[in-house]
Amino acid sequence: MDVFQNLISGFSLILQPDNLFFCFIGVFIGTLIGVLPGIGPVGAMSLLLPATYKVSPLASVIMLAGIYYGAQYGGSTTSILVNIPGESSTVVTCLDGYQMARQGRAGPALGIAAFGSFIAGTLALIGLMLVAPPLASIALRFGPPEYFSLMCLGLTILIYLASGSIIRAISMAAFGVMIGCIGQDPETGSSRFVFGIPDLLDGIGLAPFVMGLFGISEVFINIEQSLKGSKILETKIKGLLPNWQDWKDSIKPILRGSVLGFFLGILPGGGAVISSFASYAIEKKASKHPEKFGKGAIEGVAGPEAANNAASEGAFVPLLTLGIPPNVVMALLLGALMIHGVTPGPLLIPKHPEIFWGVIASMYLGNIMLLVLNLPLIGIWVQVLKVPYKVLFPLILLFCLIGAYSINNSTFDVAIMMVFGVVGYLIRKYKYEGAPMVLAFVLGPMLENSLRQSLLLSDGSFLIFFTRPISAGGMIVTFLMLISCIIPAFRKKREEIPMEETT
Amino acid sequence: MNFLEKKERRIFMKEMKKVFVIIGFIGLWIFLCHHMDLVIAKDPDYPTKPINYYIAFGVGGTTDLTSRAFGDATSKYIGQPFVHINRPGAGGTLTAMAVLSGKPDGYSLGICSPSNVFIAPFSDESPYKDLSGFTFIANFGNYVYPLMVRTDAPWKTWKEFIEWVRKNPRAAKIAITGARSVASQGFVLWQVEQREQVEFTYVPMKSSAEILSATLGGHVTMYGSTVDPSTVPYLQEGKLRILSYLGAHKTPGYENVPSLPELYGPEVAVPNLLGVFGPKGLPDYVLKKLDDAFAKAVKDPDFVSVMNRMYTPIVYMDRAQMNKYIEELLPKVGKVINVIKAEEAKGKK
Amino acid sequence: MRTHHRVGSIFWLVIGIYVGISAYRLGIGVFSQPGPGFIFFLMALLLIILSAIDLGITFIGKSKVGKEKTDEPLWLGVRWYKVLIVLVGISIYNYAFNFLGFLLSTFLLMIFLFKAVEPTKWWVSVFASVITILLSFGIFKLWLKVPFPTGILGF
Repeated sequence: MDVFQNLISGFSLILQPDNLFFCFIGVFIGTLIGVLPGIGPVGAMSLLLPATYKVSPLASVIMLAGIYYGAQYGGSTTSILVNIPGESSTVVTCLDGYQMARQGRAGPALGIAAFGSFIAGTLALIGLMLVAPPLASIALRFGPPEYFSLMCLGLTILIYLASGSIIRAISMAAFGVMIGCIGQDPETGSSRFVFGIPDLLDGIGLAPFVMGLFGISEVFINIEQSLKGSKILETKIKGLLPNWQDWKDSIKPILRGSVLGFFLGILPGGGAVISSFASYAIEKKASKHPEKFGKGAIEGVAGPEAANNAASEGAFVPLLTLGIPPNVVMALLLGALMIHGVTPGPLLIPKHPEIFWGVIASMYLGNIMLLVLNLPLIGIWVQVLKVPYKVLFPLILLFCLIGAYSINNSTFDVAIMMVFGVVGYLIRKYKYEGAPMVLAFVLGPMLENSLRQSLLLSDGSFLIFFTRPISAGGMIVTFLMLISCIIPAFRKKREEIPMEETT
Repeated sequence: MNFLEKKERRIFMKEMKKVFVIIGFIGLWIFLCHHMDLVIAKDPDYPTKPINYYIAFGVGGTTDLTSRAFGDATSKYIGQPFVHINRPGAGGTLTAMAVLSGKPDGYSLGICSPSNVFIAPFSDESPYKDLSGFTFIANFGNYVYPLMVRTDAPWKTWKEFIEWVRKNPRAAKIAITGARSVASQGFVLWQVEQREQVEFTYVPMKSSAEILSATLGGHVTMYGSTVDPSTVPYLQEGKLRILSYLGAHKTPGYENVPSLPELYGPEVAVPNLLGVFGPKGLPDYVLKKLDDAFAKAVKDPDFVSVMNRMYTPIVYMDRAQMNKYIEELLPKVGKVINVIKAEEAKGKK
Repeated sequence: MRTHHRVGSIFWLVIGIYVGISAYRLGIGVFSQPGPGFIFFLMALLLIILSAIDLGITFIGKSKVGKEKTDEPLWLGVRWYKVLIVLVGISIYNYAFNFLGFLLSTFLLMIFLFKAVEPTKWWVSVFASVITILLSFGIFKLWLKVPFPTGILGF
């Protein structure tokens, strides 16, 4: 088969020493960058970009790509160990991963994250190889109305994210949308809730927001108690790798997450963050014990981790087949290719097949390298949990502070992180949740933009959402999902009201 | 409610005392250093350490890559590295602010573009209303803005397009990066609307990549942004057609298409600019070194090859030329923008 | 617990009202052409309605006498002032960062954090702080080339 022949030629390219070398460097740096909160693959890639000028285009892309999907592997580490998302796409992993760590199950959590990422990465690659071009043309058919219905669907996911009161979860979401929309109005240029601060004109950054809301608030909550001799680990360490039961629980989430992540990653603006949230919600809905989520359910780690890796590889589809980057990282990769004189686009595969197949082969290898790199590290990471918290928390704080600063070399981002650290702290004290706020923060502005763009396209008519096939489909599914949640929720609420009274 | 127990309170006060002592020492040190500053003679050797170089747009984009190339080329001739710091946002005004607040010692420079030089001073939200706080040092490039439609669209020339728009007001959905009143594309297209007595609908989007996919997917009528490297394959393959250009520069190979300034006059063009600026008050010895290095960098082969690969024309202006250009163009742009703003205000009521 | 529940609901209610009014002033536009304040207004409405319901619940629900476990104290017996101290500390750090430069401000911050929250011996704090700044300098500045400010003291 043509595909296999090409793949084999791709492998023969990647097995050359300098390509191998750059692949390894890329995934290694990627993992490290992922572990460090704040600084993300974009920062590292832009720093290393000049170093790639003297190297072949294939080697450059291999390295830069390795940084990107490598970061998805490393990002879950701090999420699980200290409840600080290393990457925005690993916020959801904090929810159950951290609880698992406190119960002594950090090893299985880290392990299933690594394995899940590997399986997802491999599956996504198969997708990339086989169905990339036709998928890409479907992606083009997504215009503003389609995005709007997708966002609506996304917001219904919120309902599943909540582990406490739904009213409070939706309140958090409403607030999240507001925070996400702060800045300059894209349509009229007027500033909204900027309070005269120029740095706010572009809105609040996702990374400082998330780091503050989850990471800093966690430190605050912890130092309230006396820290004498306290550590994160509440009990003994139970094993370093997932056991048989863990695997049985996780395999379906991993498979579902891979498929979900891959398709969401193809869409511009979709990406790893949204797919991780979506996977969490789906797993919660599909699980026979949804109440375990939020308390250390391994499905809540396996699914999202698989999803975010699959999404990062799905993002290559529009880049390599259409030449259109679906997110900032891909845009950088595009620039790197351009500088080397390779123009991605519909002609990439015919004109430069070695780039396409070489990258794919490198990703197979890269995923294997990442698994081999990450698994032994689990033993080391788990030791972190044993460090006395009074020594650990200053380090955690420092890494968050530096991490936030390094995103844009701005102390303003650090200030934002601190503000949301306080917000997160207060929220948790008063029994509200942060996860719905994060999802709404990401989806809200996209929802608004697609709504207004769609109305501009339709000259004000709302029919546009229902006359176009994909969009109409999305709206119907959203409606159905809403109905299917609200009706049982109503019944539950009647019981919940007296229950909440006594908590 | 049990407030601080006695022991807790003591520890608390002790800690706070320590903090104050430390702060006191730092204050003293700073005071001394400041006065040292007046005593030691100014260092005439420039540059002796890396130069901070603020890039006004996001990593990986055309501006970013070409600016980096220029910075790297300049460091070869000036002897110190340029530290690329991306400070995107608010149409480049965040970079402008970083430059404004930097010390005029030559170690803090930034990238200037149409949005933070020509559009920002007239925008309500902008933190600066004139350009007196800046020193413009050199210009190295210009943007190309091809207005493109899908080849299966019924119009083959700009004239045909305008005729269609005339018969179908607001049916043309032109996607631009940013709101009409703040984007340089809006500035130009509004003038066309006035002259031709037609009405476009502007669809603001976040990036040229978004605009490209919207155009290819048939969701918007026209692509109205800078030439993104992604667009070139589609042009070459015949999937997209250029109807005109928002400025004087054209995409190589497609020079036969008339640009808007050719059709309507030189004011109907984006006030093109892509260069380096710094805060006002830069000393002469700094400027001299920079002028020198920039002039050489513009001819540097590595820089030239990056510009070519990114389809960005190299346009060099030295300090004098650049200042003259900006001085002449700024009031003209201002006039038009104020008219646009007045109109929008009327429309709101 | 009911008081805390109420405080929360009232807080969000107030936020909702503030945002709603500001959004209205920004301009909501009409349905077929939403203005800048549209989404904020919508969300504010949602917040107001939900907080009102949440608040209402605290009044309506039957209070089960005796079932109330000890009112889990939010501010009692926990060292919330430590949070405040740390917050002040890192705020000063952020403010002084550009001024003092990375090395000095980080060093001071580390010592502060080690000492201020939990009693730690001086030499341990200084030692740990030095190690920390060396490590972080190495990772972030030298290796990742993050441009850290060098303060007025020149380093």
